[in-house]
Amino acid sequence: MIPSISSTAPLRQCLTLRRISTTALQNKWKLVEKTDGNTTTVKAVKMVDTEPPRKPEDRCALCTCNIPIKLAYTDVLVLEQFMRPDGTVLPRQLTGICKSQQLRLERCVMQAHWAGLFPDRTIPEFDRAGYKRFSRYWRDDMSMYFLTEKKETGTWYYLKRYPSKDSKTWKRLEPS
Amino acid sequence: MATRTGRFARANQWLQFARQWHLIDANHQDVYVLGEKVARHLAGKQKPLWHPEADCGDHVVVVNCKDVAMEGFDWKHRIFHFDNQYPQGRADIPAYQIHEYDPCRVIFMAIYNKLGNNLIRRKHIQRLHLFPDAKMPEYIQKNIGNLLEQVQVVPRKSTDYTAEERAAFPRLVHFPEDHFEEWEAPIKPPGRHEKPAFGKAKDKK
Ligand SMILES: [Zn+2]
Repeated sequence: MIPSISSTAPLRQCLTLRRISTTALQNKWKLVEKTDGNTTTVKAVKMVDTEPPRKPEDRCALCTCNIPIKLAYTDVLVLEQFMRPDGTVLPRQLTGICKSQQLRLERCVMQAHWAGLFPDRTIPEFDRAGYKRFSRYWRDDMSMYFLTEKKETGTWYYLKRYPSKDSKTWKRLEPS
Repeated sequence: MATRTGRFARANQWLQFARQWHLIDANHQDVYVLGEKVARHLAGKQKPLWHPEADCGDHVVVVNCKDVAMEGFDWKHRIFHFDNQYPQGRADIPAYQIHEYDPCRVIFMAIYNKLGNNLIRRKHIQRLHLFPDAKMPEYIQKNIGNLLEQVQVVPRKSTDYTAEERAAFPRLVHFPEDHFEEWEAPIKPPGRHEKPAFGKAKDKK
């Protein structure tokens, strides 16, 4: 049996310990456009945010715990915080994580896209033709770089007991 | 191992002498790990009374065969070699093409290989029932008495999480003080750099 691929449980535990209760903060800006006749005014307005802002001396968000955090492609709730709505990864100048974690994050996000875990955060032209239609999984985040062609001997022997596609026989068997 | 007593344990012990019907869901399970488990139950090797000459194999019903998984790019890189020993009788077919044609064939081959090379494997494989999706005929369904555990954790999609689970999950991203919300919006891909053709002026329109 394969050990479970992702382990969000220790990560979640560690993070909930660190969590501090905060009141609604105003630390995010938003551009508001206002058209009045011929003139358009663009104003920067402060927004309500639940989390405090990042200070320049803060450590990266994925390296603060004592246990080493190894992101996996199944940690969907972590990955989607670092993503744009179209499924791309935010630059680390905005999110403030270190370079190694950023590279790991990008690999995990790509694997999650390939595994189809973000159906709401993809672009419509994402290629899912041919072999990409079928479900796949990943052992770790580097496994897409070790590609080998595996040869197997196919067997002619096959028992087709039940129709595997839509057919008249299948429709006859099916209770209607 | 702790000895189990009671009516339930006794019934389970009696069941081992009968042909049980197991059900397993192949959704997002590795073909070969699943095949090993199914082959084990088809040959009856999970029973303490198993012997190579004892006929104690069980029936196994595998549903959702079309959603079976392979690791990484194996659907493309795992290539099945067929050879019927005639001229032009050889074919190298990638696994995904077989899976497109018949969603039960790849898993059948995996289970058949895992049954080992012996004389009774053709008897064992006859007790295998493969279904491409969750539908199965009534006369199969009423036999099933046991649900086998899956061999892998099925990953959850982002659409499977509820709003409460999302709210309970801590936020990791902390943006700097002067962060604008517009910076999180998707950006237009810059595209490839088009090299101007030789001898053409750059600012020619
Ligand atoms: Zn870091």
